[in-house]
Amino acid sequence: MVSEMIDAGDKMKERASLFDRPGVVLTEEQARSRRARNVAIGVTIALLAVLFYAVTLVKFGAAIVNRTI
Amino acid sequence: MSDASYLHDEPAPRISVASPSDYFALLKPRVMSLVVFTALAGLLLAPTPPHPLIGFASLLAIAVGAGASGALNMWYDADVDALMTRTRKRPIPAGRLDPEAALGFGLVLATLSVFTLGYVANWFAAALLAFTIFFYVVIYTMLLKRWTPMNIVIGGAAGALPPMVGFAAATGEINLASVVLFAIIFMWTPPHFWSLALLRSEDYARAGVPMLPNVAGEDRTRLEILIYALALAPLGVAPWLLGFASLAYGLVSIGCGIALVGMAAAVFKQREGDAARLAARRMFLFSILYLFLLFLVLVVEQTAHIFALI
Repeated sequence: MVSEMIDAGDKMKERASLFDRPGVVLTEEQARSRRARNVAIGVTIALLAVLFYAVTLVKFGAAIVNRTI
Repeated sequence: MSDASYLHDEPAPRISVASPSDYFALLKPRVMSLVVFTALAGLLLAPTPPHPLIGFASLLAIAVGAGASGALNMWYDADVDALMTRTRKRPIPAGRLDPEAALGFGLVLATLSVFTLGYVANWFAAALLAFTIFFYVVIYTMLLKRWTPMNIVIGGAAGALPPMVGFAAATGEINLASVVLFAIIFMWTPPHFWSLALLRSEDYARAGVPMLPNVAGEDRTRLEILIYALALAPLGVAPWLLGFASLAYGLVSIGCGIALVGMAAAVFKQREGDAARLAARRMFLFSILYLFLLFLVLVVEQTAHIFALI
């Protein structure tokens, strides 16, 4: 029982040390393409938000200013 | 795999180097532009045109829906695309993009486009767009393409639906005019793709796609091209005869129809060597111009009509 607990502790220390290491390091090409994809996704979502906002304004029309404050 | 073993004991997981342009290529931009153009014609046929922003957003949703269909088509057909000269440089067969990424991309865009069109325009148009995507991906790509030489005859319906979707986005219904535009594209598709198939029959044979020249022979294909061209030419004039296009459209459609039949006749007549290839190539290229001109005239005159109303 005690030896199993010691083994488990050793394994946890070993795993913790693994995570201290750098892990997967992207090549320059991988990092560049990932950055480009992220920028494209960000720009697309931003444009989509603007489009939905503008469409909502158009669909509401003048009624959008009729609200109780 | 143990918790962190891949960090050091196994090869690193494959990390994508796909660029945004690879994802854009999945949308089949050239097909998408044709879809936008024909959907615009349908949208402009509406008696009361929608607000410009609603019209723009509707066209964008239709375009993205068409792009999603293209992405899902490339996901399913990656094995066939890898065997064909025309398609082997596409992102998946070229190894720049994982099939699973294309599948996810296509499904997300398909869902997004349908719900966007539903919100922006109406749910009838959204349902029609969903049906178009379903028809292209499931009926054409998965069922018909590898099974029957009639693949593009039936599957052509998917490419013909955008004018109806555009009209439905503007009005919430379909009418005879939008059905006529559907019919024109539906009848245009077979002679267009069979002309290409005559030029690329070896490609299709290598990929095991049963296009008409490979299954029924080139002579039968030439005859079918001529028959479809003879049916298409008067159908192209129908918008003028039915009164929803002007005399200018009528004249253009008659002139282009005569030229199309003439080129189809040349394909039927020239059966050997370079002359045969040239005739098929001319027919293929002119068929693109034919559809473009017909819809261009419709778009221009409907736009002029709207501005006259304003």
